[in-house]
This record gives sequence, structure tokens and C-alpha cells, in this order.
Amino acid sequence: MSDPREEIAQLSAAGRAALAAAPDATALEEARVEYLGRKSRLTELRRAIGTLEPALRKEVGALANTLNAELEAAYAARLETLQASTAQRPARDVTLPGRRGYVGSRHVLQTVLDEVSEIFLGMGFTITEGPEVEDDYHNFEALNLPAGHPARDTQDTFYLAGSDTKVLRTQTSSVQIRVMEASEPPIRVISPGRVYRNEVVTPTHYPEFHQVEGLYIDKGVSMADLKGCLQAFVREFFGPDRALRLRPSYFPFTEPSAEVDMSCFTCGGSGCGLCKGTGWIEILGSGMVHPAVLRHVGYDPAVWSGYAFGIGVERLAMLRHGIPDVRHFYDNDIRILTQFD
Amino acid sequence: MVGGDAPLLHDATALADAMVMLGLEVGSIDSPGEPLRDIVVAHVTDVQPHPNADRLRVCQVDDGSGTPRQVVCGAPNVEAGHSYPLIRPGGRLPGGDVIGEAKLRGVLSQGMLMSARECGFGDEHKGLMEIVDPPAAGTPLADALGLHDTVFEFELTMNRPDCMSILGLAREAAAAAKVPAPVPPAGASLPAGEGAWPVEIENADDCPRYTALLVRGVQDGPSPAWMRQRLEALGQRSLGLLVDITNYVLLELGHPTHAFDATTLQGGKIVVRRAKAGERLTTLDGVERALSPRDLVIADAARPVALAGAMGGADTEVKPATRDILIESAVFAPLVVRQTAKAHKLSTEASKRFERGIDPDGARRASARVAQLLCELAGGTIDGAPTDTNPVVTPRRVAASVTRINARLGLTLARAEMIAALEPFGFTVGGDGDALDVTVPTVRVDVAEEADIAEEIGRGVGYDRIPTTNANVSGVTARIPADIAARRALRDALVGCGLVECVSNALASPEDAARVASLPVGQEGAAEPVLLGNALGRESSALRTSLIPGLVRAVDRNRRLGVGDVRLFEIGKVFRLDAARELGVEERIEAAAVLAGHAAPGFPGDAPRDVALADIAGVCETLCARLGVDAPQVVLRCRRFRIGSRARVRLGETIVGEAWRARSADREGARMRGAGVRPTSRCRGADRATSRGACVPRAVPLSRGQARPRAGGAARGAGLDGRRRHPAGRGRAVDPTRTLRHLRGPAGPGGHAQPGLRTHVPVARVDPGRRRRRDRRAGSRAGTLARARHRGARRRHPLTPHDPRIPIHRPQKETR
Repeated sequence: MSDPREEIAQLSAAGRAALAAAPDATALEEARVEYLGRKSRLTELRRAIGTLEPALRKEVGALANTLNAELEAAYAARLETLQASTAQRPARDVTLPGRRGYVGSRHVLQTVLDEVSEIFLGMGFTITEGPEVEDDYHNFEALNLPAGHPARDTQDTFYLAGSDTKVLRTQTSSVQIRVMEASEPPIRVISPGRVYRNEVVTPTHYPEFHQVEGLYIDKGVSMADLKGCLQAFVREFFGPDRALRLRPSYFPFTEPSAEVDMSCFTCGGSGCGLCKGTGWIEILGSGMVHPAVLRHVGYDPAVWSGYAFGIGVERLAMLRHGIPDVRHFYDNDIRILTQFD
Repeated sequence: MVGGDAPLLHDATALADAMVMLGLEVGSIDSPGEPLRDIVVAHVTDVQPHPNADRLRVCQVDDGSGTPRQVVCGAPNVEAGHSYPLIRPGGRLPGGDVIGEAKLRGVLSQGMLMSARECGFGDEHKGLMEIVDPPAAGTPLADALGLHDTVFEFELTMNRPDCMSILGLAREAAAAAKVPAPVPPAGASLPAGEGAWPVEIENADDCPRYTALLVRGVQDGPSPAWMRQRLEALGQRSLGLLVDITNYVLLELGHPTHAFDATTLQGGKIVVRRAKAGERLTTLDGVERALSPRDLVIADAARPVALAGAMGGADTEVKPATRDILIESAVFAPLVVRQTAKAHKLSTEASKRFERGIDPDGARRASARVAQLLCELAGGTIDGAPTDTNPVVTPRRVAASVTRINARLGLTLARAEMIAALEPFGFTVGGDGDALDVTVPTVRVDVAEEADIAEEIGRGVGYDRIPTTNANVSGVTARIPADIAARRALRDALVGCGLVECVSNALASPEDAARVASLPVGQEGAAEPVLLGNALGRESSALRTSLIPGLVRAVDRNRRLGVGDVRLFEIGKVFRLDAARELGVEERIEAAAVLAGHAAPGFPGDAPRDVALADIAGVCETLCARLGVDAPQVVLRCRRFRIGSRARVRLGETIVGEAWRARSADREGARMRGAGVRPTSRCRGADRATSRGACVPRAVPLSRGQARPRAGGAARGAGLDGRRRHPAGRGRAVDPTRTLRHLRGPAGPGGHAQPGLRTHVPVARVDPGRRRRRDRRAGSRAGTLARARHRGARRRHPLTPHDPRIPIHRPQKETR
């Protein structure tokens, strides 16, 4: 009898070759019976292990087991290949849609705010936020709106229960005061955030909305700088063809004050429904920081000057995306939420 | 009233534009006479029956042209000798149609007599509109009806009470048109001498000026047409001559006056004083009001007779039988009038003007004007000299500088240009050189300092003159602060997980706080909501303590709208009472997410699967991986996860959020999963924005024996920071456990590890504070690298592949 170890090696080569070469399932089954079946040479070899010399038993046993595993693996591999190639499956339809995931999106107020922030960051403004629950001092008094000032009537204010000094801020301008209290000039900051007015809901009014406040304090800041800054912003946000117009207005915390109009982007200035025939669209309020405000925070108005502006985020979004109703921002209707990012 | 003429004053649109550029916003322009321009008053001279029609008549009318005109008319009320509106052939009706000459049943009709409806007034169409007291035939109808004026509606800012009158607006219009300033009507010439009617003022701060003037022998009656027409054009009803006169002067000059029936005043004197507690006054509107010392009243010798600056009393009001009138024209302190108006909820034309500030010099002018009209129209005579408690008004003077004003406006105006800009608004300028000594017209109560003068000069020259400069190029480097960057990173990660961002109301129902008490996000115990004192309604009377109710409502709403799979998140502020904080309120940014519906979009052949806890847990883990928090540290400890129960999301020892599931909010009983996670500034986005190197993840060489990722993994675009980049963009994070498997990977060819860059850097993901402390100890980046390498080597064995669905528990110690 030959050396079982040699025979195992031969069986390994021959068996793997036969299994791998089987052209179809029948041939594969025949090869399996021949090399792995109960009457196969491998089975005989394993049965005969007991008759070997003790020194050889262990080695041959291990080799036989390995061979068995090899052949099983070769069989399984070939079987899989054959099944895969012969399976009666229809031709793959490559025009079917793919397996998709869900697509997320940012809120339109956020995309607008992010873009506004980027533009002002590029002009050297940092970002600061302030509290939404404010005291009367920061929301009104320090902004040159002392108690009894008639302009307080234009901002319907929410008060906290049991308090006539704690308010929900009516404007992000309150952050101006906090920033100036906390730091020394020069200051260049924008402050985005939510503000509150005690108003009933209409297509253009909502008791909560968002503003971006801007503040720049330095030596020798002029209204021309304000105009330049806002023109840069408007052109970045609404496009390079937009013209800017400042017109006198009134905010208690700026002097001179200016409403800022942009040339209408639907009619280009000739007059249409959007701009109510004027050719101009009011987009934000601005002005030179009132000396009284600077005095409130301990800055010397003879040394420091600056400008401030306040932008309505909802208004920007409505103008740019043609959103007709401010309620859409807070309705959280997915069909609308996913349109803008 | 304007003291000159200019083309601008005849072009309503151009004038409106000019006023807007002066800061006087125009709300509307109404020319009620404009549609009537082709309609004239016609006098019917003869009416004959129509030969071929029963209901038609043939009229001969005089249209002022001298030639009689034949008009066929079907109206039942046409009569010879009366006047009606006529439109001639070729004329345009108010509706836009053009009238032509026509034959009606064979008779020529040269025009049309018109009903009120055809003229555009109301619905009256039963017959022709008869013109009573007709002017000459041929007069334009608009003139006959006093509709030739154009009415501008201005939306005034709070600082311009001086423009709350025709005089004030005419002053601005004159400046715009560059014509001389208007001259107000002179009024009656008043006798000089001691005031005839004694006036006592308790406190001159409350009432800086009070004038009283007696006019006797007036006779009430209908107001003349010109006065009625002007009042009606300005939205006021005519209430009889005596009342109309004070209203007219208010609108004309902007100074409120009050007319007392002099015979009802007791004791022959006026006292201006604070009300005494317990005093009562029935005002003109018939309301009996309890007064308090907060209210300034006008009293006679016995009792209050008017609320100063707000409304007169009913007892002393002018009636048709009144013969003797005491004209009050005063100046009251804005705050006092405001207090009274607020307390009594009485906002009147007078109180609005006093609150904003009134021209102290206007008191006597208004009084004289009322007296003049009473004498001319109501037959009165002035009795005695006016009483005036403060006849001399000194205008305010403001010192300004040419240089500083130019610096403020960004202009380079010469002194003369500044003066030329100021003078049309009534300012006079003295001083010389750089100094401007500006005398402010008394009517401009808003102008008090140099900045105000700057605005006036800006208005005068036009804001369009201001150039555009950009002082924004400076050495300042602005970066997004850490907390905002962290929020952005969190938002990007959530969007990358396929979630849609919501914005819900911060104004919420106070009950919501209790509802979510069982779901505190990152906090134990119920948050006490911040309540509002003057809310719009119960449902919006508190500030939200949690984002969860808003999200659950949003899911509910969308599912009602038919959206099946709802995956939402919100990042926003929540509020709670906290006595330790400034203003007693804690404001905190939180994030929360909710999933409802299917776990994946449908695909042919796939069995649909509802969202499960593992899905929301996966969102949490993805967030942590994306934010650079050590992802395997997230422990979603899921104990008996039943309806209404919750699981904590741990980051090491810190609970950063809670996962929960809810079913109740969804009508259809569809399953909904949600999780709240509090973002932490320890995330990588924040580090990147603020660090100057300390916390930026650094590539660490692999130690020997540690495999680099499988070639396929790296080829798919592993970033240096170890997170595979999804081609669709950043924020699409890979399952952290898979990353670990990639790290380990099978041995490379040749049977042992290849040296190279390790792409996953768990050691970089530690508390930045700790990291900085460690770096200080190490003193150098090299030290950090050495430690990292050492740690990497030590970590080789504990890293084992996990089934990605099984949350990974790892003891806290591992991060150290």
C-alpha cells in the first residue's frame, strides 16, 4: 500500500480539479460522489486510519480532515457558481430606479440665515447671539426708548407673567447693547435670532419672526460706509444688478435713520405688482448709531461712531423664494420645507 | 397753503416720490375727482315725451356751451329746471367706457344724464343724481362736489408730530418743491392786555402753556361746503359748525384746541391740576371715568371738566344752543397725556399729538384761528384779551460742526450747502467757520442734538447724495463662533441622515411642559415653563420647554396631509424658569429628531419595514460619529422599551439625550420614533472653528501590525479624518462600527500590516479641555503624537468588529 499521505495529496489535486471543472450540476454531483461520497477513496482512507501505525495516525487523520474540508469548499464554490449562472432569473432591468436613501434638507430660514452670515463674515463681521427673554433696559431704554416713549407703541410687546420689566425681545437690537457693554470698540458684529411681537397672525405678520442685527462701531464710521456695506450685501444676496436707495426714516436708536430700498428684481425698477408700482422694495432699516445709545454703554460719541441695521430674515426669504405667506415658515409642511435647500 | 408754485406741486406722483425721499412715506394717493373729469353739471331746460317709447323722454339740456343739447333719458325723476351730471359724446365714464352719440328709438341723444352709481358713488340707480344748489352749467362735477383735491395718505414716523397737519406737510412739500415756506392763516387779531379768563396751573411741568380765549354770541349751524368737503376728504364727519371748527383747525394747524361752553364753567376760572382720588368725569364719549392723581385734568372752580389733552367732559361740551365759547389751546407734557390715554384707553386725535410732542408756539396761533372762524362763520365776537400763561417761547439752539456732520454723513459739503439744506425746513443758522449755531423751529420737537441736524442736512441735500464707500476691508478676521459652528455641524449631520429641518413656534401651550415632563431631554425632572402675562391665547402663553411637542405636532400634521414617511428634526431654543440665571430664565439650544413611517424608501421587491428603535439610535450614533465625539461611547441603554418609556443616550458618563417612542400622537396608530439629543460644544465642528491647532484632528501613523483599511474602503474616498466621504457630499457619515472593521481589516498581501496612515483617530476624539491639558503637559505636538501612537498600539486588541445593529457598550475608561 502506498503512503496515505501521498495519496491524500493526489486526491486533493485531482478532486479539486474535478469539482472545479464540472460543467454542470449533474457532473458536479458525480464528482461529489466520487470524491466525497460514502464509497469514495477519501472515506476508505479515513476508515483505514485505525490500521495505520500509531505514529502516522494523527498526521494522516489531520490531512484527511483538511482534504475533506477542501473538497467540501470546492464543491460548494462550484455549486454556487453553477447555480448563479443557470438560475432562471429575468434579465436585470437597468432602467429601474435605484435603491435610495432619504434626502434631508435645511429649513429655508436657515439657508437664508447661513447665507446672510457668510456674506457678513466675509465683510469682517463676527456673529453673536443674545437672550430672547430680555429686560426693559436692553430692549428699550438703552436703545433710546425710555419709558413712555410713543415709539414703544409700534412694537407690541410680550411681557412675562407677573413682570412689567421682563419682555420677549421685540428686536435683535437689544444685542447691540449687550455686545457694547461686554466689549470695547471697535466692534463689528451681526446678531441673528428670533424676536416676538404681540400681533395676530396674518399672511404678513406672525408673533415670532427672525432678524439679523448688524452693528459696526469704530472711529470715523460714516453713513457712506453703511451704504457701501449694505450695497455689498444686497448685491451678494439678490444679484449684482440691484441698486440701493436710502431714504430718511426714524428709529429711536439711530440718527440719521434710513430705510433701505432695493430696485425691484421683477420689473427692474419700472414698477410692478411686487413693488406696488414704485420700482423699489423696502428690505431693511438702518442708520447711524444714536449718540444717546453710545452714551448708555459708556462710549464717547465724540470719539466713536457707527452704524446699525436690522434685516428681517422672513422678508428676505419671502422675496427671494417667492413665498407668499409668512405662516409657511412655521407650518412645517414637508412638501414646502424641502423646496428650498 | 404753500407759499409758491412749482411743477412738482401739480404732479401727484412726483410730489409723493419727493415726500418719500424726505422721509414721509406715502401710503396712498387718492384723486376722487379724477374719474369724473369728463362729467359736467348740466341744467335741464325742457322735457318732452319720446315719440316712440313710453319710458323714454327727450330732454333739452344746457351744458354751459351755449348750444342746447338733446339727450334721451329713461330716468323717472328727470324734471325741467333741475341739474344733473352729464357726460358728452367722447367722454369716458368712471368705469372706463367711452360714450358716443346714438339714436335711441329714432331720436338723437347727444350724451347721457347720469345716476349716482354711474358717477361711481354707491349703488343708487333708481334715477338721476340731482345736484342741489347747482353751480353754473358746464362746471366740472368734481368741482361742484368739492372733489377736485388729491388726498395723500402719509404713514408718518413717530418723530414727526409736526407733520400731523396740513400746515406741517405743506412745509415739507414746499421744501421739496423749493418754493417759499407756507404762511399759516393769521387768525383773528387778538386784543392785547391782561387775560380775561383767569387760569391757574398747579404744576408748569405738566402744562407748560395754557391759553384761554372767550368768544361770545356764536350761533351753531351747518358748516360751509368747503369745510365739510375738506373734513370728509380727511375722513371726518361733519358734526355741526362749532364742533367742526375745532376739528378743522386741528387738521389744518396740527394743534388741538378744545371748546368749552363758557356758561357751564363754574366760578369763572380754569384750573389745570392733577385729579383728586375719587373724582369722576363723564367724557364726551359718554363714559363716566374714575380719575386718579395720575390724570391731569382741566377743572373749573368746582370740578374736573376735561381730561387734559385727551378728551373734554360731557357737561361742558359745546351744544347747538351754545352761545359763549371758551377756547382752550394749551401744551401738555407728553408723558402725562400718554399715561392718561393709556389708563383710560383713550387714543384721540389730540392725545396722539400731545404724546408725540407739540409746537409750544402753536398754541396762540390755533386759538386765534378758531376765534377767527367762530367770528366769521358763526357770528361770534371776541370778548377780552386771551389768557396766556407762557407767551414767550424760546426756540432751541443746537451747536454743530461742519466737519463732524460731514464725517457722519460721509459727505464733503461746504458750510453754505449745509445752510441751504437746513433753511427750507425752517432752521436758521448762525456761527461761523466750522461752527453751526442752529436755531431749531419750535415745531421740530424731535431735533435736539448734532446728529439730528445731520439727518436734516441729509434730508435737505438728499440721501442719494451720500456716496458708497466700503470701510470693510480691515485686518479683522471674522470666524463663526464655536457654538454656532457646532450647531451647523449638527444640522449638517442630521440633514445627512435624511432628516428635514423644522422651525416650530417658541410660543407654546403651558400644558406642553407637563406633557413632556416624562421626556426631559438631558435633564431629570420637569422644566417649569416661562409664562407670558399678555399672551394672544392659551395655546401660545408660554415659552416651550422642549422641542418634542412641536415635532410630534409636525409629524401629525404631515401625516394628515398624506406624507407617509416623516423624518424631522429641529435645533432651537428651549426655555425654563431658573432663579439662578439672569432674568430668572434659562435659555438653552437643543436638538431633537423624530422618525415616523418606513425605515427606508420603498424599492421593488423589498419588504417595507417600519422605523424601529435601532433607526433613531442609528441617527444618534451617526451624529456622534460625524461630530467627532467618540462614537462607540454612545450607549443607548434600552431597558424594557415600552410605549411611553424611554432610553438614555449616554456620552460616556454624561447623559446627552433621550430616545423615546410615541404612538399616541399619530392618529393612524403608525409607529413613531423620536430622540432628543443635546448638542455639545465638544464636537469637532466647534473645535475647528476656535482652535489654533490644539484640537484639530491630526493624522497619526499606524503602529506596526495594525492594518490600514481595506483597499476598497480607502478607494471609496476616506478622508484623512477617517470618515469616508459619501460622494453625495459631506455629512453623510458612515456607521462607526463599520469604520472600526475597516480599521482592523484583513491582513494585507504578504501576511503582515503595511505601514501607512491610519484613518480613524479615536484618540483625537477626547474632551478638548482634557486634550489641551494633556498637550500642555506634553509641551509639544510630538508628545501628542507619541502618546497617540502608543495608545493606538495598545488599542489594537480591544477593537473588534461588531454587528452594526448592536449598540456598542464600552467602558468609559477606554477613552483615557
